[in-house]
Amino acid sequence: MTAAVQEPWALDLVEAARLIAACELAPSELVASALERLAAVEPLLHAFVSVDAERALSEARAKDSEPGGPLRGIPLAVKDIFDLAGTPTGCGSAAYAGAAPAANDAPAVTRLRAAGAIVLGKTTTHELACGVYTPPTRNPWDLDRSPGGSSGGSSAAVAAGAAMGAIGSDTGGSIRIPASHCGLVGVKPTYGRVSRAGGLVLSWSLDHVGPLARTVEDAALLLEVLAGPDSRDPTTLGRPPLPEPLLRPDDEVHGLRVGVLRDAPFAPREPDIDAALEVAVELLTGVGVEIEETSLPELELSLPAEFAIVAAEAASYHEARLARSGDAIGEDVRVLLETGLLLPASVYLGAQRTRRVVQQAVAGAFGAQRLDALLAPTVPAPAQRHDQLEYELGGASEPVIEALVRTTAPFNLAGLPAVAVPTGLGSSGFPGSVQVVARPFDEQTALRLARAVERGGAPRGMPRGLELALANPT
Amino acid sequence: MNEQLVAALAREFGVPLPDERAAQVAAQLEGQITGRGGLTGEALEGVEPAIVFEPSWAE
Repeated sequence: MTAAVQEPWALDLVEAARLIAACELAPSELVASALERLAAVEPLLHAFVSVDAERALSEARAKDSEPGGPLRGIPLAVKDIFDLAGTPTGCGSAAYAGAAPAANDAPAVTRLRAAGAIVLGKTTTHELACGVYTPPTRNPWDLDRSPGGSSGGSSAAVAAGAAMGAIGSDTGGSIRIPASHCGLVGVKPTYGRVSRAGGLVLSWSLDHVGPLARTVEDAALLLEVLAGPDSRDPTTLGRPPLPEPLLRPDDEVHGLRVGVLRDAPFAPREPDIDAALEVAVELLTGVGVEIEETSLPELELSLPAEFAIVAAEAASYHEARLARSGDAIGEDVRVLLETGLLLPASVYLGAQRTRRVVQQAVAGAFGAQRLDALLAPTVPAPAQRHDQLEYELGGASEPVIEALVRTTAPFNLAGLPAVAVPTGLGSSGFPGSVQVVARPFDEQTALRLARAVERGGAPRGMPRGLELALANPT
Repeated sequence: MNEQLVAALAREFGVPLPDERAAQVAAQLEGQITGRGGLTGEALEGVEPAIVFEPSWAE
C-alpha cells in the first residue's frame, strides 16, 4: 500500500460512508481530500468539464454536523449529459455552447443528493453520448490511451480517485466500455430501473442510466440510491423494487448456474481478454458456481439493430438542433444523425423486430439451461490509443467502435442488467473485464456474481500510468 | 445508393446535408439499408417490434 492510498480520497466509497456514519471521518475532510486529488490529476486527465469546489466544500461542511443518508458526504461526479441545477448541460458538443444553466437537477442527481452525496462537478462525454473515445480525456492506466466512452470522463475521474463514484449512461455500452478500459465496476441496470429524465437522449428505447465505481459494493450502494420510480420517466413505473440491501457480506453464489458466452459476437478477441474470461470462470467455479457453455448466435444480429435504432432515434431527437447548429457537431456523430434522418422506417422497425428476436433468444437460453446469469467478455480488446481507429482481431481489421459495441449492445437490446467487473492485470498492463448479465430486474444476482469475480481478481491501488506521471512531472 | 440520390433525398426531406458529406452518408445509409436492421422481412414474419405503447399514465 502506498502513502497515497491512505488518504481519504483513496478509500472505497462504502468504507468512507461507514467512517462518516461512525463519526470517524468528516464529510468536509473527505470532500477536501477528493478535491485536492482532483486538482492534482485533472491537468493530466482532462476528465471534468466543470468543478464547483466552493459549493462542494460548503455542502460538505453543512453535513459535518447533521445526520444524513447512506451517501452522506460522499464526493461524486456526474456525466455532462445530466442536468445539474445552475449549470449548463454541455453534452460534449459545441452545438450546446451557450446553453442556459439547467433549472433543476436530473432525478438521478436528486436521488444522489437526497442520500447525502456531494457533486464535485461534471465529467466529459463523447459528443452527444455517441462514441467510444471521449476526447480530450486520457486513460489513467496509460495516458496515451482512451478511457473509452461515452462515459469516459466519469470512468477516468473515478479510476484516478478524483471522485468516489459517478453516474453515466449506456445506450450500446457507454458505461461498461469505459469501466472495462479503466478497471472499474460499471452497472447497466435493467431498462426502466433508473430514471433517464433530465438527461440527454441518444435513444429513447436503448438508453440506460447507472453507476461507475471502484468496487462492486460501491456500485451496489449507488444503484440502491439511484433506482426507483419517477413520474418523469414512465419506463420506471410499476417495476419490482430492488431488494435492500442489494449485497450482504455473507451472500452465497454457490449453486448458481452461469452460462459462458465465448462465440461470436464475443469472438474474436485478444488473448488478454481470453485470459480474463478464464480467470472469471475459474473464480466462479471455485466458489461453487455451476458453469455451462452457452451459445447465442442470434446476438450477432445486435450490431445492425443497435446502429439502426440509434441512428433513427438520435436523428429524430436532434433534428431541430441539426438544422440550427449542425455545423457545430463533429463529423462522426453528424454523419450518423444525417443517416438517421434518411433511414427508411422499414429499416428502423426491422431493427426493433430483430431486437425482439435477440431478446427471445436470450430468454430462451436462460430458460432452457436454467441459468441465473450469463458471463461474457465486456469488450474484445483493451483500451485503444486516442488515434486508433481499428483493432486487429482474429486476423482482420475491425473498426474500434464496432468491436467494442458488438459485445455490449446485445444487452442494451435485451434490456437486461449487466455488470462489468475487472479481473486481474493482463500482459498488456490493463485490467481485464468481464460482464455478468442477469434476468430482468435481477441486478442482485449479477452483482453477487460480479463480487465473487472481484474478490479473486480485481487489481487494487491506483492506475499505474497516472501514478508514474504524477511521480515524474514533465 | 449514391451521393446524388442522398443529396436529392436530403433536399426533399429538408435535411441540411453539405455536399462534402453526401458520400459518407450514402455509404452509411447503404450499409443500414442492406443490413435491414438485422434480419430480413421473411425472417421476421410473425415478430412484433420491441415497441410497446402504454395507454395508462402516472397519477
